Amino acid sequence: MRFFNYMLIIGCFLCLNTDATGQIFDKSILKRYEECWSAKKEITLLDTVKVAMSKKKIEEHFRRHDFIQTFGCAYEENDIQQNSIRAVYRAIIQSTRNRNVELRDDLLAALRANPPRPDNLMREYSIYVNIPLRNGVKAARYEIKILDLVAVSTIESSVSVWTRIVTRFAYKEDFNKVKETKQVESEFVQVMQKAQEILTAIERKKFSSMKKMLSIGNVADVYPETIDELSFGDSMHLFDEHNQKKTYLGIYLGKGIFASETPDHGVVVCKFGEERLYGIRIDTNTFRRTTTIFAELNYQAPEIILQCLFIKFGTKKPQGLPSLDSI
Amino acid sequence: MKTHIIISLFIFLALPCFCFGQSHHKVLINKMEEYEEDIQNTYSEYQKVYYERKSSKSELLAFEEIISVYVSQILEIYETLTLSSIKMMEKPRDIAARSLIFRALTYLEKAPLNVEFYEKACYDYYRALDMYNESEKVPVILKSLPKPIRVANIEYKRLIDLIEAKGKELFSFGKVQIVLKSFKITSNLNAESFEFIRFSSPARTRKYTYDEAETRIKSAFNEILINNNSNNFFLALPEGSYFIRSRTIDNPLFPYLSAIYVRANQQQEYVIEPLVDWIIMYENPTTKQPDFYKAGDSYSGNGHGNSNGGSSFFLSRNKDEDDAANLSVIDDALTSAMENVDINKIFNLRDPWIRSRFANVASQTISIHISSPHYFNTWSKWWDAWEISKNITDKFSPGNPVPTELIQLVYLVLQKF
Repeated sequence: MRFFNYMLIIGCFLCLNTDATGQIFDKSILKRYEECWSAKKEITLLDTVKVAMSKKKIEEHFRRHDFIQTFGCAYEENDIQQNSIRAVYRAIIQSTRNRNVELRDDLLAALRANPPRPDNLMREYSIYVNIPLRNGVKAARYEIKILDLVAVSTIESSVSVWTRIVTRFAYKEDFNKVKETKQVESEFVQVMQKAQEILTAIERKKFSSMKKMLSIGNVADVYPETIDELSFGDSMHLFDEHNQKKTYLGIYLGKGIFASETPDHGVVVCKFGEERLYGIRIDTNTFRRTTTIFAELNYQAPEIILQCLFIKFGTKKPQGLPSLDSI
Repeated sequence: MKTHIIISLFIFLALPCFCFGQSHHKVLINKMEEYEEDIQNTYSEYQKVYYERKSSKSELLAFEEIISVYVSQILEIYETLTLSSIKMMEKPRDIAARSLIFRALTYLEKAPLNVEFYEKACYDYYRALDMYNESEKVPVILKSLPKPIRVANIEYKRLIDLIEAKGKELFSFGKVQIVLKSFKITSNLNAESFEFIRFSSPARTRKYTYDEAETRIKSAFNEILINNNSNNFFLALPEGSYFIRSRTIDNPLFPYLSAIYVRANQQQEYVIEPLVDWIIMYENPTTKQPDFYKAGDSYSGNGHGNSNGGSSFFLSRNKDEDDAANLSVIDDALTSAMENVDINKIFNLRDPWIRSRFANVASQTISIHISSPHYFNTWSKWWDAWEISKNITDKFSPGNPVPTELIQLVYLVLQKF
């Protein structure tokens, strides 16, 4: 009898530690995904850039010659050069947003033609921008100097890059035409901060605070039509297959992964298609964007965090679709 | 005068070329028809040999090969005609699709003894259905056959009736259309180390194989890692849950990222993208709640499913009021769709009493279907139309074939939602 009890306990233990393939996996593997933002014991790119922003102030001679300083960073690609291009692009875009001017040239093409890298000396660019005037626009030459371009290993990527640039109009008369200049050093960093708070809220299953941060109750500004148009923070409704009037909220995070309320499993992080495991379906007519800043600045949640969240919530999912009669 | 001469000369030279082009296409289509007739005859003969003299294995194999030769000839001609972009592609497409389905049915005859033939049959069947993916035309399985076919003393006039009688096993599989995107040649994924594994399935579908899936996945990955483009392919999988695993990446949790869930007799679209040092495989959702607001001009319901507004969150009316409003929208849609279909071929709709009763029954059947989970779990709207039409026919003319015009009528109504 005692032997039988032992076998039962061992059996239960094995059941709890069995993965989808039926193999036993080490609990330490699951532990790796317990804390998504500190799993690798590295700092975040956000903290790195914030430190740089607090320490590096614009040099006096640049300020005297009408330059403004902006920052940019990137982690999305697994290549230093590509991240450098993105980081510099973001810093330049921030500068044009501050001066309320529009790009006239294809900036990305210009950067790709002469890519900035931490290990080369490509540090100066010149592009054309449009200054909006009452009776149209005026083309103006815009000077860009990269002062810092640093590759760092962070939680988001081992090849993250941040940059500090200064920019100004090549001619004083153009400078005089622009009435106001904002002094925002990086809106992208603010967006990263907000996104990190949202992702942490999901990790801690605080769905209502996440809804608040994304202003889900507000009127939508944009209605994406396909999943290709979805961006971080977009919301959608999922409906119960059996009772279509019961609806649940889903928040898109990126790479086909979203957080959602479910009928019986609380809040889950799953990928498109997995909602069917819970007997609910996405209504593709209800994609909504109430917070546009993530899409405007092309923010993408770090893949490593998405992967971690997905796996963290992944191990307790049903293994197969419910039969149509039981939905 | 000069212009007249030039125009005349142009017509004189261009007309024969045009005529030659037309006749050339006609010859090819005639050839397709001939081959199709041969396929149909071979299929009938195959049945006889299979059921009367089961021992003649080599003879059966010969029949299979003959059908395969005809099918490949037809597909080759079809491809030629597609490339020469002639306008009237409906007929060649129907012939090509029918030939593939006949080969699938031949495979199914043999499948109880060689289970891998179920899978093989499915690939042909899906390839045939694929041809109608972006078309509003009636799929070939719902159309009349050019010549009725006699199988086991029953005469079949449409492929769908033949499939329902002889090929129900095809409905145990699901089609998964996969798009690979954003992969780069610098990726360190080794497609040769991939394994495709089934980890959960209903007992009834366990006997079916999915052998071809792994090969198709590997070749798609190899191709994309060389060409650096997006790649599109499909799998025929028995109902169940599957994942891709790599023999070289040792993380037992990664399969969760590459899992797919297949329901029988459904078409699903999946996307595979790289994610950190592995991949993610997710569905491209296509479900939409029926939009009664959009469908009905005089809709008085709660705006449930209103496009883009997500107004299903702001429910105000009770269920009965909503149902009544929805039913009246379906009624209106049915009445307007009747003008675009030859309703004289549907039961006896000339009779006003039958017609009004038909409208009631049809609206209710459509309403019940689109509020059930089955509406979101079918192959396409054509398949919904087929299921609904079967139900309506059972009520009006039980035991008789479902009229194709009725299927068209229901499809037109469903298109509005």
